[in-house]
Amino acid sequence: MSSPLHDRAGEILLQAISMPTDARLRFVESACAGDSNLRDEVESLLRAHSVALPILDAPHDAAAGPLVAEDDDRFIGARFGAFHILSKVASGGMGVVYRAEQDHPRRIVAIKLLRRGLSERSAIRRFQFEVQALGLLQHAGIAQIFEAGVEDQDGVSIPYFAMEYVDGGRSITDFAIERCLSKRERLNLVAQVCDAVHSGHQKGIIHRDLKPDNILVDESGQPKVIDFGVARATDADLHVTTQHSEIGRLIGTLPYMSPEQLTGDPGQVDIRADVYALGVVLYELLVGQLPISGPWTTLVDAVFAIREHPPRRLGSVDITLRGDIETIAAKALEKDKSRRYQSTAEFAADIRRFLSDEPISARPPTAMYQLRMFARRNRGLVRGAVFGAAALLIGAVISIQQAYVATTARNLAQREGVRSQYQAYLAGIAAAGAATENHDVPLARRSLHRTPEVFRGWEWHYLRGRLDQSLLVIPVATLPRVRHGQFLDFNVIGAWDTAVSAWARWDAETGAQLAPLPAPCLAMVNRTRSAQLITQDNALTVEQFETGRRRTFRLAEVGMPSNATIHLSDNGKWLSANSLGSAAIIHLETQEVFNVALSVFPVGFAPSAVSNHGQLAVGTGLEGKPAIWDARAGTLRAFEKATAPGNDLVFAPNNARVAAVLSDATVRLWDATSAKLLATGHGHSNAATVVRFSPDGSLIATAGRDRTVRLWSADSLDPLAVLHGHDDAIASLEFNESGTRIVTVGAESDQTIRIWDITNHGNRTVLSGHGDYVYPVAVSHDGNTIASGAGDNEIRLWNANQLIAGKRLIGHTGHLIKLKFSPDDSRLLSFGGDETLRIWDVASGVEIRRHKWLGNGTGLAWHPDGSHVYLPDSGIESISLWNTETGEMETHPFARLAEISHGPVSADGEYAVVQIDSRHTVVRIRDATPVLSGPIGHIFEFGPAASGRRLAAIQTGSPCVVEVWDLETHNRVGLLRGHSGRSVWDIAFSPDGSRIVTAGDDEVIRVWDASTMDEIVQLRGHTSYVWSLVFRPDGTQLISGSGDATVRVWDTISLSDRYMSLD
Amino acid sequence: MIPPFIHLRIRRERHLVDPKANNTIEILARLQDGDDSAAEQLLPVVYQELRALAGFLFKEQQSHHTLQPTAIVHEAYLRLIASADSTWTSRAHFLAVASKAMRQILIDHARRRNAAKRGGQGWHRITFDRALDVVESDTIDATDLDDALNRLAERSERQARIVELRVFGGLTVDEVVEVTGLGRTTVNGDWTIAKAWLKRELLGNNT
Repeated sequence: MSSPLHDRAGEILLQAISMPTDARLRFVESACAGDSNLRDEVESLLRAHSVALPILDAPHDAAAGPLVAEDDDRFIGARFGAFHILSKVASGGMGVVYRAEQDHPRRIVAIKLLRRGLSERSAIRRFQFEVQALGLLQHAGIAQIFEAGVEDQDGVSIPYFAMEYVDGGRSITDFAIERCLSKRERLNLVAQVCDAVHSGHQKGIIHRDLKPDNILVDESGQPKVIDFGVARATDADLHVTTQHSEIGRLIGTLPYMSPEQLTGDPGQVDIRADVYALGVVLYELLVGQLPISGPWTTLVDAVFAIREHPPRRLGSVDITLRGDIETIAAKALEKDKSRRYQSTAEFAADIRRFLSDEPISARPPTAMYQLRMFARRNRGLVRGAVFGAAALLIGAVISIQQAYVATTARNLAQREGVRSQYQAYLAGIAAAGAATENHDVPLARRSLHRTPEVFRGWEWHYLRGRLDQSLLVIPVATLPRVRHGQFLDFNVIGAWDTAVSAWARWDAETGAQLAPLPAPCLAMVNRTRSAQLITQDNALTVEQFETGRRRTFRLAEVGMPSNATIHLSDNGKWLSANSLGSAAIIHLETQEVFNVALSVFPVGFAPSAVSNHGQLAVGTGLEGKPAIWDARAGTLRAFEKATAPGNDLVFAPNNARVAAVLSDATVRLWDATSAKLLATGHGHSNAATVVRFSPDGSLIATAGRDRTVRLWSADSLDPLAVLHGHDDAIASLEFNESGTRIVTVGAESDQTIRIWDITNHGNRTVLSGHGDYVYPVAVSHDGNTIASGAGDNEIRLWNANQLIAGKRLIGHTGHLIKLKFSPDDSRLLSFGGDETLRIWDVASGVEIRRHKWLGNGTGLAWHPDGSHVYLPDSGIESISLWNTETGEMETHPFARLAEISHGPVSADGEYAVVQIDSRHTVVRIRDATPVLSGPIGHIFEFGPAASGRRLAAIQTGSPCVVEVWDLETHNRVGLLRGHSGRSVWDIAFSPDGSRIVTAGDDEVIRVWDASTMDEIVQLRGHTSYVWSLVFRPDGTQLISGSGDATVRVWDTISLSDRYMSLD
Repeated sequence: MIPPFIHLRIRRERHLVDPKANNTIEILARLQDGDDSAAEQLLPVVYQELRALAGFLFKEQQSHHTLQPTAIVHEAYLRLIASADSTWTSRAHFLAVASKAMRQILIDHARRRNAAKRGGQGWHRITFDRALDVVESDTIDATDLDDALNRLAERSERQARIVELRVFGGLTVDEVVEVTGLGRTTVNGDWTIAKAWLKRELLGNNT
């Protein structure tokens, strides 16, 4: 069938639309040549042609689309309304974003051209209306929309809108990776985004398309949500076309869509869809993966997964996220929106509660709810199963914190109770670990205290030991009266006790209380202990210790009231005093007085310190902000960027710089002459109240309300260490004369004075000194000596109790591979890359024997009587023993291997790992037969006698996995998975056999439960691979050697307890 | 002490076609070789799949939405074919068959719904039909489009077929060229004319 009229009209239509618009009608007129029927037909088609009808115009393919990816650049240089397009920024599914310049006001904006042409007038009107409504949305966290319009380009109406240009903006996920943000910082960022989104919700606008690409963060760290409400204005959510790339894009966006968005009903979508999307963003930021992840190739798979699959628990991806933060994420990601946070404000509030360690509002799902969800997911199965079986299944699914599943059989309930208690233990350990990382001692202590006692193992003791990093704790019952403590002498701590008007004193080494030193009245010693200031009967006496000279005068003489606040300069020659905004500097020799009169400085000035030459004083001026007063010039100058009130200010010992702690929790460093800002230190989670320079001026120490002592480099404020231990705010901090110790006094409820060792920046448990990668570590049988060997060919000995360096054993001409203490600890066996075995006398550090040996060090062991060293070699015919008395090599029957009973031999002497055909094989020594079906990896460890006959070894072929074998049954009883990198480099059993510790290429030490094979805790700190692990025989220390050239001691006993237990 | 974690396999798309349980791919091969009877064999398979997909993806759907029927067709293609053999021509041939099926589904649905509106089935509307509301165009009733397409076919069957392929099958111009054997220019021209003609028919004087 065909119609001549139709065909002819079609031809003319095609020709007409190839012409410019104004020429079309004239052409039609002439082409129809007076045929009015034909002309009417063509003209009506022409009109219809310019109208859009979605069902016909939506399935554009590349050539027909109004805007296509390959052609994005053609708009550069074009004008859209008041905007001149400069360059392309990004291209997405919905449109292309350009950088553009606006005429009035002149500014750079981002302009988004939508891919989907709008030609229906009503659609254009609606688009403009919607976008203009969005312009009302103004919030620091939302990129503001300025204007919307539709521009005709080449006959196509292209809708566009202009919005705030986010300079340097990148997606929130990229930003977090780029800046290496900590988890806390990431959480904070999400909370800020929640605030911004909430402000949109309050204006009745739902974002509907929140995803990392729509949350940019600018250079200053300010998140900016873009495209707010645009999805609605353009109907672009869930707009799907047939294009392959579109399906791909949609699948990419689906993970951020709430299940109700996927039902496709716009009426179901409310602000809680944004809560869900932010939950996904939070999850992705924390662990770098999606809560429900593909790979999906079809929409069905993706939609099904998002609607039906529960999200992976955060804690199962990263165990440090067990506990509250996991609960918060799970609540935001609830499938049922009525179970989610009901607003992003609630979501943000819970994140902030978590960050400030307050109880969160979200609760983990109850057992009954999980049971219902389980039943919903598995309707047929549950209905069909007999009750007991169903209960068993449910038990397997329900995890944390469920205490009791009613109506199950009693024994099942008991088993479940144990499991849930155990899970509570794991969560408690994770919480305590996280709190320790955040230096929140009280929370860490509470978390540890709450864990069920029965499960407490090595990691519990380790975390408890880390609660206090101070060297010495002096409990002071009268602390409310002593708010300031300092070193009175090299080994005497003094604290002024106002009640008895005396210096309370303690021995700085032992903490023993000494007789108080009475002083006439309020007394203070200046920072360098060069002078003492005594006030009595409204008179001030300054005593110079060096000369013994005393000088007494009255404050009234210099126009100050007797209750003025006073400070002495470091050299004891100048005094500053202030009261009620007026301040004075007094030269003690000459009684020369400089006054700050209220008439000169209407804002007042309160000096905190006076320089040695008396010309300068630093303190707080207008609104409490730090300022410097030049007494001779009579000027008061605010420090550059002194944006918040100062809590404490000090001069550097050379008086050239000034350090301050501000109430905004920053530390600042200024040049004293120019008042220019030199550096800013960030890290305190609450304002610090005290700042001090070390006597040599190289370090700055700060302390305050966040209960930490922080050390900074004094030239750039680089953070060097964070020390915790105080249970409450720190009221005072002073260095000792040599700058090796700090004394702090706790405030309020923390009734302690603490002394901190800050040699090695307080990292006493990090043993540094080696000049190259550390390979083997060993610990003596008495536990007192640690030995380490490194790529610098040296062996170093360390005192394991004091954690200080001991002898260096030098002689090897290749890197160290293996170290073993003799059974009586008097000698140390070493094996190096120079292919020599050496024996050293530990007491003298002298090499006493040497033997050339070609081996790899695996399996070297002392004979328990100390007379021989077992040198592993191939085969099961005989064994080689090196006689350390004579230096002779001896060959012995294979069965003698049973005597070794450690190292490559099981504790009971039954089994050994030997190389057969260059593969490591477990054999029963008695009859020299292999007991496991295949070879094991070359890194292995027998469990101690307490663990039963266990063997852990890396898996041949995948050396990041550790297999645990029960030699009794010859069964593999566990697989420890989690490590990454090239290999696990070492395995250790805790002496009680309850824990297995592994470490390797990925720098992380993992502690596993040897019975459940659960990963319990991760020990992080090494900055390169961890090559070796060894437990101190009493189990109190785990020692690790790493490619970062350090040996770390992971101690279950706190530094102060170790210190106090020393003779 | 700890019960082993039991993995549960959930039978998911139980109402969807199992790609391995039918001979879709084999039929498609015959279709490509020019065996027209193959299309008749493929149609019911595709029809069933499309119905299931539409129902699955939007089962709770209440009101209209902008999901295109072509997206569902494409999804069906991915599920049934893409994994096994995804040459470009097999995609075109599959979509050509699917476009017929999709058109039929939409019309059946619209008729049922219109009947329901007149009180025929009242509250008893089935989920599947509610789902299909999604895939309808914003303003155009599928039956109206179908009627208009039938009228277009009286004037140019070729144009009507191209519309069917493009609108219900989501074929690109190049794919239409492959399936119909027509020239590119012809397909482009016909598509432009047919669109204008249909818009005039469907929108009347509102333009």
